Amino acid sequence: MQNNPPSEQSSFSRRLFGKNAIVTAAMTILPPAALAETGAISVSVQHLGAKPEGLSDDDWSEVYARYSNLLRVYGSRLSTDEKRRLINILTTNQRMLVSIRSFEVQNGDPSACTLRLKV
Amino acid sequence: MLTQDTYFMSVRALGEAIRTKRISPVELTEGYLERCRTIGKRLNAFVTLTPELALRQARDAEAEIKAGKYRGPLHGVPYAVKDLVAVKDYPTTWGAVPYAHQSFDYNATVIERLNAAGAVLLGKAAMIELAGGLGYSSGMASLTGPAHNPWNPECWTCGSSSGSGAIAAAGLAPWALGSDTRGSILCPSSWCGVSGLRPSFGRVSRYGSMAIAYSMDKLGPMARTADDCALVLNVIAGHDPLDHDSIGSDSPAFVYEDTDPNHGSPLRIGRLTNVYEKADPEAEKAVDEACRAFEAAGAKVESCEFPDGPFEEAAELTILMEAASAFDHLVHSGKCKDLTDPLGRINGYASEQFSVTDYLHVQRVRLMLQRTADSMFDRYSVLISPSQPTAAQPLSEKDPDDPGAHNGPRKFHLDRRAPDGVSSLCGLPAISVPCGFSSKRLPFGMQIMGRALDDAVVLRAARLYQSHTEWHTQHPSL
Repeated sequence: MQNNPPSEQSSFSRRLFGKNAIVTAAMTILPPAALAETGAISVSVQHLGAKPEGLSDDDWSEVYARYSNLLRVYGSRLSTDEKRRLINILTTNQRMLVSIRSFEVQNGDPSACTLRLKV
Repeated sequence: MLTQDTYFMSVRALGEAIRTKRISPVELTEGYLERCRTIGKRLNAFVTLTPELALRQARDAEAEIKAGKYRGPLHGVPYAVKDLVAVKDYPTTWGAVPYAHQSFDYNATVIERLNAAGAVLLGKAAMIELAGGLGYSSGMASLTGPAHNPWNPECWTCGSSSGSGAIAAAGLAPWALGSDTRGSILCPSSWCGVSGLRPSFGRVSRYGSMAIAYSMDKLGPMARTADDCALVLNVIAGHDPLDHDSIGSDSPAFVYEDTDPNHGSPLRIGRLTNVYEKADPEAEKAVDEACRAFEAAGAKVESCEFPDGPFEEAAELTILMEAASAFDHLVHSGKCKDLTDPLGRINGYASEQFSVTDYLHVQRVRLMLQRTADSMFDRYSVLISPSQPTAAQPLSEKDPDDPGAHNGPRKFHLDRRAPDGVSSLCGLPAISVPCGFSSKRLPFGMQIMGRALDDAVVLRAARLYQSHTEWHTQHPSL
């Protein structure tokens, strides 16, 4: 890469960015099986296993996306057992998010972490 | 020579004995230090003892009182502090291997306030690593090994203020400071049979204390009686500009008025009946008996249900997300691998995957849940329930909710209204007081929670209960 002329490097970076953007978008809308078929994700996902009971396809896709990103960043640090445990953790986290999301909020409902200025 | 009973005296009684020169602070400190070195070692209750500091503070207290300068009920009275609170020039390990050699060159605000009150610091109490900030699956998860429950050393103290619970229960100090993000004062107080107060969020400055979840962390006392908790809170509460979330001067300050809790308008007590899907019937029975004690004392008690809502999930998610930020350096550097617990070593990687939108959604739901919880106090002065669904569990037992162990629904989804989770999430004051024993002679605790900032009514209810019962006077034989 260091030997490439600046213009080529920029061009390549833009193409890479575009490709990554497509992959990211795909991760958010495709179920795991479809995503695997695209071959767009190079990370190992054989630990993911079958969809756990009680999670929708969309939720399981979200777990998949988070797990894929986690492996992309930290995969080299993790043992096989730790990867298996992380899938369980991400699944548990997803179940909690599902529970929270089922609690309806409206646009005007503020956040508990709104900054309050004091005089 | 002090008798064994001396070490189980309340803060108030010890303070009075010191004030009237019936007990020497130096002799008392030496006696406690000896217990800390022997019994404390057996229980894994301390990370660090501070004998030089303690004896200097005790000598200063003795000299001042002799000279007629009396600072108040904590003057000359020993205590311990959870090892996530900075004490200048002493190790502050946060209970975790990566911080085993950490120290600070300043005191936390609570330490400064206790110094000003003339209190005597015996040492730094053991704790669960990072106070469970990156998760843990058993009581073994500590730099100093598991803390043992003084009522049965085969059982755990609960966490994360594990050492503080053991210290107060075993008479290694008359009180210890703990911290509570989601139940870390209430649970050890329940399992160790002591009175533990988790004040309203923002009531006590956290400056100089380790952060886990910025919007949920609190500090509070674990002691023999609710009255002792109030005496300590009276010293450590108050606005601190160094803590962003410290309650401002525009909110009502906590001032302990130790009037007879039997006087005043009758308390309206709601006995929560739906907070645990499955609780030990003995624990429920102990609280039912407490209801009768309250009624005999003139309170009005009625059964009630807590509204449904994802309280536990909101609490858990808030902690996971905020802790991922609080400990991002450990996660990014990979040093989280040096933690003791297998869950703690990897949990941060998973928590980093939450999005900003996830966090804000939880916080928007949280505000609605806070309002829901608050509405309960339109009808009731306080709400009571078992502090925990069981008495102390064996140390060897793993957390059945360890999220790394399986991917099925977790137990706490059944306990989404667990009272320590509800009160933690909503920043409510709550106290756990001893209310009976299991058939195995392990203590049960009763949680009393009140409206945000109404710490006084929680303390009044607990003092009322303790003025008509004697569970809090019992201690383990060691």
